[in-house]
Amino acid sequence: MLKSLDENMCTGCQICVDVCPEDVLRYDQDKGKAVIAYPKDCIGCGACAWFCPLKCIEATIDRERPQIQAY
Amino acid sequence: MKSLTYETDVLIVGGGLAGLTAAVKIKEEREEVEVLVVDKGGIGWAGQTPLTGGMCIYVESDGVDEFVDSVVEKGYGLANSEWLRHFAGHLERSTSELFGWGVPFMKDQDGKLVAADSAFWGTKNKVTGFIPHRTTLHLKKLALARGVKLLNKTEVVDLIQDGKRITGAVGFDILSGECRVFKARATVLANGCCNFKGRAWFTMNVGEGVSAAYRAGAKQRHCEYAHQYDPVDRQSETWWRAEIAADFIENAKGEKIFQKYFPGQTRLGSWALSYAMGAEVMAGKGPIYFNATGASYDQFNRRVAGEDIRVWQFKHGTFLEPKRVHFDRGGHDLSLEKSEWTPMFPGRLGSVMVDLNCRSTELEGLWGTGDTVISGCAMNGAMSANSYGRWGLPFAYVTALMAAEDIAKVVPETPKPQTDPEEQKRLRERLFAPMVIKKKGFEPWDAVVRVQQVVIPVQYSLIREESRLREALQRIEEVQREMLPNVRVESPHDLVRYHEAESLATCSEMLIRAALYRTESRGSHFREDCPERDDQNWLKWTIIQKDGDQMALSTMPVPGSEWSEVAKK
Repeated sequence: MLKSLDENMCTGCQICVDVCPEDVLRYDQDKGKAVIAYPKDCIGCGACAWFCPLKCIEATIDRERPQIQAY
Repeated sequence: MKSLTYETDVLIVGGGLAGLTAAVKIKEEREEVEVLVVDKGGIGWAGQTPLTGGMCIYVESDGVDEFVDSVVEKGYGLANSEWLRHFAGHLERSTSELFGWGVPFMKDQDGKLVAADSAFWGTKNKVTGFIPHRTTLHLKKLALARGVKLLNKTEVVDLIQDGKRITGAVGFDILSGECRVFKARATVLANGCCNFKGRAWFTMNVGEGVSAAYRAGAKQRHCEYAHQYDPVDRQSETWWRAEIAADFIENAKGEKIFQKYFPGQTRLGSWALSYAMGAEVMAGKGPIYFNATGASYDQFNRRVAGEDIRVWQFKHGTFLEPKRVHFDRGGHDLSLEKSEWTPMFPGRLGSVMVDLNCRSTELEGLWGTGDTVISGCAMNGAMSANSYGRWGLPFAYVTALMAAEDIAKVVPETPKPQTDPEEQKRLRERLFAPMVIKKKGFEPWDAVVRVQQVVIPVQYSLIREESRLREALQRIEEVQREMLPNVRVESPHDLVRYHEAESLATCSEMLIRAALYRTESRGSHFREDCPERDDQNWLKWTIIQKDGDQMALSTMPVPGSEWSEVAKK
């Protein structure tokens, strides 16, 4: 789950937008920053938080979408 | 509806490791050939590659025979020795080529490639690795420097055909929703396999290239073995190599379980450990735990060139660093407390059938690389394509180089594509049909979850049985017939989700139908109702091909009977 994205720190590099497998993050042209556009679709991979060079993003592994288990 | 048309010589669908490698190589061979790479994410960061551990199998040329023999021996008679020899035979030169391009492989103080002994597949088997996200970023830089055109945030949905010739593709811009039409002399599918949205790390690849190729008439091979399961920590999804983890997996009573189902075996793939875990739970003996309390770190670690792999990965920022990820996410140390484990299902349906030049065996003008074709090549035999790990990344760049060399030879002689406007219109309408306004309806994820419920659980895709497989097929058909036409699509973002759900359903149907078709048990395909191996009737690969509106199944014999004799021992 994407808990927060610090807009003050974000420089708009778009790494998080590019790496997100579920198109949760988008780039806001007016602000020049990444924004959380589709939070419900976040599946908790953590890639955005991991690769953000300034650690603007706080993410956890939980998610709104159900995760079907093998048993 | 605004539409933009792109004309190019080579369209590469997917800008990950395979797509970018192919693009760079084509330009190296024939600078004048125009190449366009299209990706639904941001090229350089998108796809599976940046989220992997970067480890690559490496076989030197004098080790190929030993490698092929040892893989075939474990393949239960279905290993594709021709493709194995082709892949292994190209590993050394392909790895050297990418290293020469400056891809950040492991290297020593003198700048030479480091490949350490692995010995899993014989004495000449080695392992090397690269920093995955830096690799794709480097390849992107090389591609741009050579004049490759890149197009981000574009979802390709269908291939355009002129009879049996592929002449391009249709898709849409994920941000604006505008239609995109691509006309090309050669089209390369490099957008991965279907991972069924089963693991949190690999949900971007839902087999859109595989299902587009299926709809266009390409044969799909070996679909029943697309059921990759990886045993992982339930909370954090972190994992260790199955052959190492097997010693530590126990049931609720604290009984070690692996040897109960596979006595005396030590080098089976992740499917075997997953099977043991699933069988114990189905027998009421769960939960299942990973218990390494008191074990030394060295007992479940690997070293490459004397360096702890995990330290190397952590030092260089590789994403898939288990101890670090586990600590950050799970917050516990496996040497101090046990942890509940479960088989996670990334699946790996990359079933498009290609020849040794990576050309589709049915459709002209179409090549397939990397995960899009990995399970269809059936190299591992009777288990899922990456059961042993460390093959996926090198398979991506090896096949990319093969396809690129072939394309560079043929494309200059290939006439420009002629596209039928009626066919383009039909595909555009199909693409945007879900955007018909609906006041009520399902969300795309609803359809995804309904399919996953009959694919991911072990009783459907690992410990199989006819009535459960028929139940799964019925459910998938209900999703296709009743849910998908009623999915509410209100934005281009939803439209991506819709086409992913549709692709997931198609790939799941292929997986389940092939599992029903193979009426025996062999390797990781286990049928409770057909528990014996049947070499008389089933030393064959299953084939799926579209026939009108139906999914038609057939078989082809596994060539190389001498290998069948080896596997029977």
